[in-house]
This record gives sequence, structure tokens and C-alpha cells, in this order.
Amino acid sequence: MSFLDIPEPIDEDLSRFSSAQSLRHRSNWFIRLRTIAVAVSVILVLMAKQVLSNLNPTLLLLPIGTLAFVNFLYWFRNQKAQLTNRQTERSLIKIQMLFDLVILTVLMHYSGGIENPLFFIYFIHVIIASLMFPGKQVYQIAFLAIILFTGEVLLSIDLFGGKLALLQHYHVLSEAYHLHDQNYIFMMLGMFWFVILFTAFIASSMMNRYRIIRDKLIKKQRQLISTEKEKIDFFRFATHEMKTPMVTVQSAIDTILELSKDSLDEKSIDLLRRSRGRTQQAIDMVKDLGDMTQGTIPNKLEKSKIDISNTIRNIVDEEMLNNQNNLTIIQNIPSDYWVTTYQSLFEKIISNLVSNAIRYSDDGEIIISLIPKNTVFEITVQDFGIGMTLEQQRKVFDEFYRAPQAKKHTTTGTGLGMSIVKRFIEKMNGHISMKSEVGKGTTFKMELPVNV
Amino acid sequence: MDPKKILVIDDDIDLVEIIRINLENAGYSVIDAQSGENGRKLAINQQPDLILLDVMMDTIDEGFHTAYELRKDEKTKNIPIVMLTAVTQQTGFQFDKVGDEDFLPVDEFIEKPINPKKLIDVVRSHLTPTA
Repeated sequence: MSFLDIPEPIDEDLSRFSSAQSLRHRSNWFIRLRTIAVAVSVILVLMAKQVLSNLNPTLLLLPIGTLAFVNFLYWFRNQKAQLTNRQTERSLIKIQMLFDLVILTVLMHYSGGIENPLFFIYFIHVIIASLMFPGKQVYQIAFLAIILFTGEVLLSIDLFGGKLALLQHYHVLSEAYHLHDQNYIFMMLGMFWFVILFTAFIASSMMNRYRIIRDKLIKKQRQLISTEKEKIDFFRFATHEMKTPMVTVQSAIDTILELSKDSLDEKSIDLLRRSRGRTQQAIDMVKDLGDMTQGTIPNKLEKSKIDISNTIRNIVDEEMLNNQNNLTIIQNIPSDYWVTTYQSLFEKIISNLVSNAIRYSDDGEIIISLIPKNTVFEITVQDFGIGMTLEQQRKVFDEFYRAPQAKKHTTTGTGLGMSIVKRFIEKMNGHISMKSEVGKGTTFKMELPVNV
Repeated sequence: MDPKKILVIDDDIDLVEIIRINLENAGYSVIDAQSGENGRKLAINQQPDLILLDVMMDTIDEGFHTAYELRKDEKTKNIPIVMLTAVTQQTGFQFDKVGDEDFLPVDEFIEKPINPKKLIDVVRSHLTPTA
């Protein structure tokens, strides 16, 4: 990643975490979880019936069935209802959670109440609540669990001489002596309260820490992206402003060379020509810098289906217009070949490769081949020009690098072209490699996907 | 026969001078304006045979807006417009605000820097001999 690339937004899910959509998402997850819980409970009841003769499966399957039906209604609502605001989604989840706790307590009541070790399911509810709700809301669920379970125990066990026992206690074990021990019951309830509250505290503080870190991250990310965008806009504006005077100077030189050539001496004309070369260099630099910012702003690039055989032919024709050497370009390309790609980037890649091949060859040939493969296609551009040493090949994709013999060969060229090529190819998930020998020439081979 | 009159609209006065020298040398008469608004007034009053219009003046697309205005006006809608563009406009800036991309109300583009031969060729091609 270089200074011009804007980082991709972090995980979309993360940045939508507390939105209505994400709550709906979590609500759906919760519904799936409940479906599994219903199925497991039914199996547990049927299995427990074999072991515990006191158990009345009908009394248990009724509330489980109710839960399954209500769960279906939740599901149906989520499928049909438009996304509303965050508050509504959150309230609905809370109502579901309250109902779950009530059903759980009814099940506990018919399966032995405090005798039943499955009261740890209350803890699971508290943990889920901390995932769903920020801040202190998890304590509402924790307190409801305490009230429901304590209520069930107090109303169905003979405490205080049976004054409170308005409900029948359903034994699951034939002998449960400890239930007649008041101290045992209070100890159990005390432990239950403590563990429930402690779970709520741990889970909610962990989740809140996580939420704080997440929110900071999202905020920082947004700041970063907007600063980067400003930077790129500034960069583009600055390069354009640099170009304006260059353009005027070059237009003036061209006009003098065209109209007043006859009244100027050789030396002045040579000086003007060289000055023109320098302005051209500056203009090329601005153009290349402008190119580099292409494809750096997310969503600005557009894919399209194009005939790249035709694109290559057009670019070659255009580049040959500027060529003053005695060069032939051989094109081994199919008559037409359609791919889905970023047209602007593809054109820049090809025109940079072709213009480089022309620039660093004197006479002879340049061979351009296009070889379709399955999901990719291969393009090679081979020249028989000045070539490069291994050391220079390693640096050829570096920004502003130009090999000494390249500089000697021609004053044009910014040293940005190949770094742009590499950058764009990587943007399109392709890759590029090269082969070169001094005095023999250079071959660039690249592979790009048929569908970016 | 009177020389053909060409209106140059560009806020870069040096570039206007360069264009003027080239065009006058080729036998045209040149009038100029430094903003889209003044250019439009001049076009209505002077009825030039062709308009050379810079894209980027005070705003990034002032030239385009001027071109639309010229095309809307009965008095100027038939005057050929050649637009002067900088390369950056093709590669970097996008004319999102211009509206219908398929319909650009100009006859041709000339890329800056101005090449004198190209300028004269393009101007000549849009001026019919009898007009």
C-alpha cells in the first residue's frame, strides 16, 4: 500500500454493529438458537422420561410447544417486517428474552424446580443478554431471572411452615431430603443470586469494553478515509495547477517554432526545442501522477465488458503516431476477445507498456501477444531494444526509477510508468513478470483475470 | 471577403494571446473573453463564426455550462464550438455535475498544450467556406 491508496473500509458488519440491521441480524441468530434449544429440550424430556418415573412429559412439552410456536411468530415477523429503528428492534428482542425466561421457569417448575440442575440455563440467558444490549440493560434480565427462579422456589417448597407454598412441588427424584432443609434452600438461592449477578457484571463489562474499542476503531477509520480523500483531492488539484503554466509555456514555444522559425538562428531553435522537451517532461509527470490517483478512491472505478483485442489495436495505432523510428509492431492477438475489466486501468497498462517498448527500441520489431487461458489471459510485450541489467530489473517497478542507459537513450519518461502498470495490475488481481538482457531487449508478461 | 471571426473564451490571457497569434497569422480575426458569462454576451452581440472555449475557468466545468447556455440561445446555437481541455480532465477529474454524458454540446475537443498546426486544422474544418 502506498501513500495514495485509501484503506478499504473495515468489515461492513462491524461498522453496522449497533444499527437496526445488525440488531435484526442478531435477532435472527437468537431465533435459530431458540429453535435448537426447543429441539434439544424435546429430546431431553423424552430421554429423562425413561430415567425419572415421576416426570410428567405432557406438562413439559406444552410450554416447549408454546415456545416453538411463538418462536415461529418471531421468525415470521423478521421475514416480513420492514426494518424499523434500533429501539424497536431492541425492545422486541427484550420481550422475546422475557418470554424465554418465563417459559424456562415454567419448565423448571414442572421438572423439579430447585432439584433440577438445569437452572444454569438462566446464566446462558444473562450472557446472551450482554451480547445483545449495551450498558446496564443486562441487569434487568439478571434481576428478572432472580425474581422468577426465587419466586418459583419460594412458592413451591414448604418454607416458613408452608405459608408461602401456593404451588405444588413436582418431585423428579423419589427421595429429596435436602429440600426439607431450609438452610440448604437459602444457601442455594443465595449462590444463585450471586452467580447470576456476577455473570452479568463480567459479561457486560467485557462487552462494553469491546464496544468502546470497536466504536473508536470505526471513528478512526472514518477519519482516516476522509483525510485520505482530502489529501488525494489536494494532490490532484496541485498537479493540475502545476500543469497550467507548463501548458501555456509549451503552447508559446510551439507557436514561436511554428511561426517565427525563419527569423531565428539554429542555436535559438535548438534551445527552444530543448525547453519544449523539458516542459513536455513536466506535463508527462503531472499526467502520470494523475494516473496514479486513479483507482485509489473506492467505488470510483467502473467495470465494463470490452473487446480488448480492439483496445490493444487502437492503443498501438495511437502510440505509433508519435514514433519517429523505423519500427514494426507485430500483433499476435485474436480478432476479438471480450473480458470484463476496468477499462481505464487496462488502457493505461497497455499504453504504458507499448510506449516504453517503443521508447527504448530504435528500429526493428515489437511483438505484442494476447493468449486467452481459462479464467485469465496473458499479454506479452517484447522489444529488442536497450534492455536492462538484473539490478535495474529489480528496481523497474519502483516509483521515479529510470535506468542510466534509459536516461541516456531518451529524455522523455518520468520513471512512473512501470510503477503505475504494476499498481493497476495488482488492483485487478493480476501479476506481471519480466525478462531482460542489456542490448538484447525486454519482455514484459502479465496475467489478468477475464473477470475482475 | 471579411476574415472569419473567432471568439476565444479562456481566463488564461497568455494562452489567449498565443491562440490569437496563431489564428491571426492564418488570416482569422479574433475576439476574446475571460469568462463564460462575458463570452456568451460577446457571442450574442458579435456573432462569431466559431467559438474556442476553455473547459476549466473559475470552476472545473464552467466551460461546459457555457457551452450549454450557448446551445440554448437561439442567437448562438448554430455557432460551432471547439473545446480546449487539459489532459488531467480526461484522467483525473470527472464531470459528474455536467449531467447527460452522452450529449456534450460541443463539436470537437482540442487538447492543451496547443499545437499550432492542429489548431488551424481543426478551426478550418469547422468553418464552411460559404458561411
